[in-house]
Amino acid sequence: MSKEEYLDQVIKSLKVADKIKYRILSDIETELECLLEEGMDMSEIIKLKGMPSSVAYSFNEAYSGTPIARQYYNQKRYRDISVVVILLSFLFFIISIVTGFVNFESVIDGGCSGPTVIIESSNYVLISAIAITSLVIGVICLIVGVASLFYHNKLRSKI
Amino acid sequence: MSIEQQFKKGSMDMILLSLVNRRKTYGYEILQTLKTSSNLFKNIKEGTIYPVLYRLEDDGLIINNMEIVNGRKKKTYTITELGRSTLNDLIEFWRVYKLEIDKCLGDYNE
Repeated sequence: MSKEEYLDQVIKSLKVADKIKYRILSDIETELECLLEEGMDMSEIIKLKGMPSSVAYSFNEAYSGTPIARQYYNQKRYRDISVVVILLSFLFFIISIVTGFVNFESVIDGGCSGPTVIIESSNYVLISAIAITSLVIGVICLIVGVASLFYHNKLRSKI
Repeated sequence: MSIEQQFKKGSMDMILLSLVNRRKTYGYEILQTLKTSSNLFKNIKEGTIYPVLYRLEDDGLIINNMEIVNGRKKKTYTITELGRSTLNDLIEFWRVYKLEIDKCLGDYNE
């Protein structure tokens, strides 16, 4: 395991807010640099310090029940909701495409006159409304989902 | 948390401040110094000291710097003036506290 892989696994195992994760990362990296400078290789370092998960565990235990740990779970929930919103947007896009296609076909299959025209026209309006509404909701969900994920990642990269 | 752990936790701020006060240092050096200087801390883990260091930093008692030393990136900690005066207060409190507790214990023999 390389130094970068070790650090990556520590970060992935940490259940703390992002702002603390990156503070921990820089300190653990300093520790690894010191040990490498002393002439140890990564396998010896792992024997001495333990696996990344056990290093992360000592931090998780220290922060357990604190606002720092609660922030982690809130951030995770926020990310998950953003992904669900983006997936919902695709669902609405599909609904708008399908209803638009159905509308298109019913218009083509029209070719009628008199009272039937009125019924076909009202169906057309309803289905068009569904198609357009789905499209608009889909666009809004996509914008909101992508913007929140972008904002979340921007916050993480600032630290 | 055991009583012993509570005692150790209560004194950690003072101990870490005193170690950072000696010279500019980094987490690994603090960890090693604690492990070698006292039996109380021979099994101390990163998860015990770093959260305290971060809190001391947030309170303005120490500051950190990323430095390149021998071509390697290292994060060092230095005590601030506020940290020094807080350390003096803590040590003074500790001395008085220890005296008073010893008075309360009297000539207790196990």
